[in-house]
Amino acid sequence: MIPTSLDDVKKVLSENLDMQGIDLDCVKEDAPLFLGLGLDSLDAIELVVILRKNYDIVIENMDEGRKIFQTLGTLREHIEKTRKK
Amino acid sequence: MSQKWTGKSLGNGFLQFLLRSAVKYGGRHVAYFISYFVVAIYTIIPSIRKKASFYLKRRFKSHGAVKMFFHTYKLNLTLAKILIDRAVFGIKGDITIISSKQDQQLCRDLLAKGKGLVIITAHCGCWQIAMSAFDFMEGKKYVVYHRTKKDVDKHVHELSGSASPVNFIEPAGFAGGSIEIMAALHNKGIVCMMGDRTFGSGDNKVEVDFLGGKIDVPYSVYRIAAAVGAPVAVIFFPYRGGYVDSVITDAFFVENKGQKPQNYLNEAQKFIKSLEGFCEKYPYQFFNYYDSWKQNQPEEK
Repeated sequence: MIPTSLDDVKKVLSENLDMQGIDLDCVKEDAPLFLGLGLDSLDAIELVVILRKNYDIVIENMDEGRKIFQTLGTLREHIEKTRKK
Repeated sequence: MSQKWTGKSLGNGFLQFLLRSAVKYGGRHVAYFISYFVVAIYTIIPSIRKKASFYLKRRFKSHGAVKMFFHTYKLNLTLAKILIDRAVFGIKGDITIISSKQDQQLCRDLLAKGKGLVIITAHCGCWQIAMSAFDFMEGKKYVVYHRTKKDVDKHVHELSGSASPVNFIEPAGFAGGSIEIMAALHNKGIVCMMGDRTFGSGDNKVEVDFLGGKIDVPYSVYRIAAAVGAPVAVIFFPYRGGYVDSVITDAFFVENKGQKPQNYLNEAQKFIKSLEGFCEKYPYQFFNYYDSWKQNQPEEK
């Protein structure tokens, strides 16, 4: 397990996604990714790419994806548990 | 006034029921016979002609009102016959889907790359029974398909009462279906998507030239293919009267060019060029009953 902070995740997201208008400093761990942060289907593609490129994590199926991408917190937890780099 | 896509079926539920009953109790030819009259009545309705006119005015630019009426009749009749054949396929399992040995081998070769396969098609020909043509390919099959409450067309498996041979991915579902599509491709699945109609995120579009005007088409299909390294096959399913062809018009890999829509303009335009070729060859098999063009009037030549 490689410790991963919420700030680490926020930094990666802000570098790779268009998050203009969102003050990430104020976003809490339980913020829903697709409703709270306003991400859409195109951002979802990039999220999958980010996980693979930055952490060598592959989403195997939809059930897993649904759990991982619920909130910023679930995403962080999954990265921390499964990242290979 | 421009008319946008609503997902509503052209025929109503009763008409669909009538044709299905005709297939069930009378067979394909009885249903065909009834359709000649039903479609004639439908074609007289101004709103139906208007819906068909957006495409037909661009495909047959210089044609007058009388010719346009017959073009509309032929377009609607072809759609009716395709729906009948789909019902025949679902109820009686009786339809032949032909694909050349060459195309089959190409699909197998693309799939053998181990990255899944993206099939891009359009709302033309017998696209609804498309995936039934891929029995020769191993791997789980998916169709990205949005069904509204106004869409009364039944799927083949709903008609037959059997389990669906394909899995449906709902683009209005969680994260617009993107994660599910990418997971399916990661597991070497075959995913069929539409390349001619935008859906989901308002940003999922790139502007291309089509039949003398500009339309928006989705670019996410190419972005996904690029992101997972999946090969793309452009396949159309022309209806030939009682049997269906499956024809690969293009196959390519999409280079990973990042997130910007414009980076995938070439691929999107390439697909639309193939669709234009299809419309040229089969003018009555592109079922676009809404105004997808940004300007209503076709350019005068």
